[in-house]
Amino acid sequence: MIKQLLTATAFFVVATAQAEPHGNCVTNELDDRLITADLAVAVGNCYLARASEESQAVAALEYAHSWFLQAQALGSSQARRGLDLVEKKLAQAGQAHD
Amino acid sequence: MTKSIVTSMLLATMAVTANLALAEAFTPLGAEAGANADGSIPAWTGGFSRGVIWSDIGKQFVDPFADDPVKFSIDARNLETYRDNLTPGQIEQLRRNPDGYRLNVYETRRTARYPEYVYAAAQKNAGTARLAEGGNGVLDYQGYYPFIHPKSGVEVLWNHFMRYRGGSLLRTHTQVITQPNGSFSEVQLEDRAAWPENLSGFDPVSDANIMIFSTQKVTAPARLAGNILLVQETIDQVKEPRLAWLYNAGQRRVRRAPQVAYDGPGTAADGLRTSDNYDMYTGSPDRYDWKLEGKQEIYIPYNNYRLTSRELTSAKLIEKGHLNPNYLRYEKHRVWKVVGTLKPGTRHIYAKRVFYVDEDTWQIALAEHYDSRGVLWRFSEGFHVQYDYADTPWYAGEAIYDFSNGRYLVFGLTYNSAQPITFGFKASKSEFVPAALRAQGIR
Repeated sequence: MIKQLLTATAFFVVATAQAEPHGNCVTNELDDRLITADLAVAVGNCYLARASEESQAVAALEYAHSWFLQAQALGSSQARRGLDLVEKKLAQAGQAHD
Repeated sequence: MTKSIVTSMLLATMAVTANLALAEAFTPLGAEAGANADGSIPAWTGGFSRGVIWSDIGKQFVDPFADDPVKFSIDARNLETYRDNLTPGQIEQLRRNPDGYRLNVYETRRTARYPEYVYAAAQKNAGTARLAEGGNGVLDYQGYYPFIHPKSGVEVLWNHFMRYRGGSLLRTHTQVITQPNGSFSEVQLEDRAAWPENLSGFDPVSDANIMIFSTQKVTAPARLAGNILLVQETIDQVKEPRLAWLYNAGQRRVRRAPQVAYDGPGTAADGLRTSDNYDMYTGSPDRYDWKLEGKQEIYIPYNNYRLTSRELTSAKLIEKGHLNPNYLRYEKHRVWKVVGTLKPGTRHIYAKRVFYVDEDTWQIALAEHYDSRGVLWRFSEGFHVQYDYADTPWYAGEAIYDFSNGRYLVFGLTYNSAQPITFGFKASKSEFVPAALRAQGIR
């Protein structure tokens, strides 16, 4: 029951983050045991949306990368697409600043 | 029978001789006591003290080594000459700032000095302390410095986490966020921390897994002022995660703050540092595999008394891409090199981290943080000072440079403070509980 409640809360947090792509995305608020593949993808997408803000683009992309990587470890089929996109954007950001 | 007694006596004598040799070879905290091969790092002779106390220091903490001349400077043009004694982060910072940035190197002064009871605890720990399961905590230790003769990277990190900082501390300090063009903004903070030895109400049984009690209050600018972070820093954070609460002045509410850990954003830092970038590295080491790569002799920030001067201002200190080198002091010291690689299945924005830990203080002097592509992303410097009025070293500031965007952040600067950092006061556990946050709120 408690686990179900926590999972529901986790989804609410993610849904809020998705609704506000420029607001705060999840970092370490959730117990590791509650993080599912879909949830990790959702948080990764939240950071991807934040990456449009130039001054913090790399940080947002690194957060996105870390979440997509976790989603991949959890068996997500969508994670690879997210990782490819982030890696491409990171490479572009790297070239711009070298 | 006689032969057996003689053998026992001989073995006992050898053990005593070995212990004496060990005591001479190492400082009470396990650093190599002797000089290095070419004498550029001198022997440790007990550390530095002017024999003064906090009330003698008054409002100005004077640089005792102000007359030391610069021995030489390292910049982008001559760094190859000194490459063996520099870290990749330093080299990158020099390479990116070919004009105006340099490391001014001074005579090495091994100023580290501590109260006798700290030495005694460390010596005792050397025979008893052990890592908890997975290296996520420490068992059978007392006080500070559990592993003065470390055998692994994570043991070195525990010495940094569990190092002595006066037993309690109070500082008001400035955090400066700097843009690529050199413009900057300031945030004023007040940090208060207490270790169990100075905390009334600390329960050795129910609080056994808590190492430090601390608060961090934002006092300016007005839009952020009044927010307070409370942290009860647990030792084994896998068994019991760090306990953190945030008082939001706007909402006048206290909320749990589990995001204040690992790569959660640092307080009012505009995304330039993670929670675990505080104090060079803080929190739990459990997300990385740590490797001890031995010792190196490198130029690290040391005895940076000039950073504590009340005559200093952000306008004088902050330059485009780097701090004004005239206010910084570097010395050659021996450091432990510890490399952390993110464990498979765990998450953090830094895929790899490298820490350089001063042998005399167990304080991280330099840190490098790598991104997911293996590229050096951020580089941190901890500007050491021996606060001799409290017989404790700590930082006079910490900087973190973001190589991806040219921004940097420096915090822990006390030049705007009315008084030097206070150490060693008594506090009550009741000051470090959620209910106390509302009372401390200024609005």
